[in-house]
Amino acid sequence: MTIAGWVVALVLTGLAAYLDRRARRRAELVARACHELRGPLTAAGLALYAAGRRSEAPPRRIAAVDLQLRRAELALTDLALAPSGGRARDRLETLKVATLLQAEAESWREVAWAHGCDLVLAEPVPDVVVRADGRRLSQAAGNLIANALEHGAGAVRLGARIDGDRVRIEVSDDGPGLAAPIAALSRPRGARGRGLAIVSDVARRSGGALQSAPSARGARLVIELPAAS
Amino acid sequence: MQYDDNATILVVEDDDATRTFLADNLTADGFELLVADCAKDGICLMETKYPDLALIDVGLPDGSGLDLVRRVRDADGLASRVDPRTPLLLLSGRDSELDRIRGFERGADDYVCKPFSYPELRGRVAALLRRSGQRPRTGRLRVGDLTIDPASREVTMRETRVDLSAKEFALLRTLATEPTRVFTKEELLRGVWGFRSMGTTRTLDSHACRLRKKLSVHGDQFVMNVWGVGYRLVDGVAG
Repeated sequence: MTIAGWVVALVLTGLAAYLDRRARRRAELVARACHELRGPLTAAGLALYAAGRRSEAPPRRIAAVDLQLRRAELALTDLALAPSGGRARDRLETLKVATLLQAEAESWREVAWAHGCDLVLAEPVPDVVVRADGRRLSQAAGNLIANALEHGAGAVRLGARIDGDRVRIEVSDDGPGLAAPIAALSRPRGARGRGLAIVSDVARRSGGALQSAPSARGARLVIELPAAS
Repeated sequence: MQYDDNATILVVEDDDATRTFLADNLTADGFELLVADCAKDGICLMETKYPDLALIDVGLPDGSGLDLVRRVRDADGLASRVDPRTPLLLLSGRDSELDRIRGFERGADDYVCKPFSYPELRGRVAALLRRSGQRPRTGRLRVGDLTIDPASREVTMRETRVDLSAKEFALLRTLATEPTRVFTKEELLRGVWGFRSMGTTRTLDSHACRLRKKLSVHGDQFVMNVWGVGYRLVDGVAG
């Protein structure tokens, strides 16, 4: 009995040491990957700033690319903190929804064209503002647009409207519609389902929710957020 | 935004793209730029060009930017050509609290993690330059007909070069930072020779005597002995 106990203890100690080594190795690989990503992102940000001051691209295009770079930086910070179970701290700001959607539309227009879709930005409601981290909201809106371009068809419409004290950011398409309820689709399924899980998480952390809305055809997804004054 | 004083900034960064675009933006903002892609060239430029501020990447091919910071801070600023008070801003891909603390412990004035926003970096640079505006400038010093160029370590008297030893030069440069002020012997022994306690003043006196002679070829008296106290530099043109 005593010998068996020693053997079990030895095996458990060995297993713990193995798991610890593996976790350290994984954390080191993540740290290296993050380190390697920082250089190109820094250079790209500086190049974009220089291009902006030389008017080498329209300001809207510069703002759109800048938003995508900031989104990538946020993902990088999330990745760096993932081994310790953390994530980048939210930077809350008062955001004009119209400005955010304009930048998203500008970012995704070429991608939409490659998918054979039209990306239509509805006339934005002026002065609609929300209190959120712009980079996170860009993550959420970007994932909805990417899903619509991949799974939808025809036109992908992007818009926002105010509903009482709530702001509804909507992305709709002309595709076959959602294959399952939104709650089920927001749970990661193997390599799929992460996009909607991210959108749902961002909406929840910003005091809102991801919803699907009735639609005559295709999918119509809504990020509902509290309106800010 | 343009900076009127044309401050010179040294960028020590091994990544070509980051170095180039950073230099582009800083130049467009009116700064004079010096660039190096390794620690060796960086220290060389600090010794010869006396930048007003240095942006130093932590990961350099021939050593850590942290070592470069330590080397600058350890310089005595006199016999060594590097100005140890140069504002130093570290750029790093590592953004943990421990990394930042390590940077500050080595002597960095600021620490910015990559990727950074250029406007924020520019703001930090401006703040450091503003704070360092009070420190004595490291450019050419003039006292009457005497000119001291710390960058080239050249001393000229009425456009004639005066050859000085390293300690004589360091002594002269110290006195020239505040002309007419009397520097005590203790101050000079500590600042120029690095003595921690007041020992014999013979070394100082003999160097001061040689310096006085070398500068008085035209009968001028630049180095004045204040008996029992120390030395001071005056515009001692011969009458």
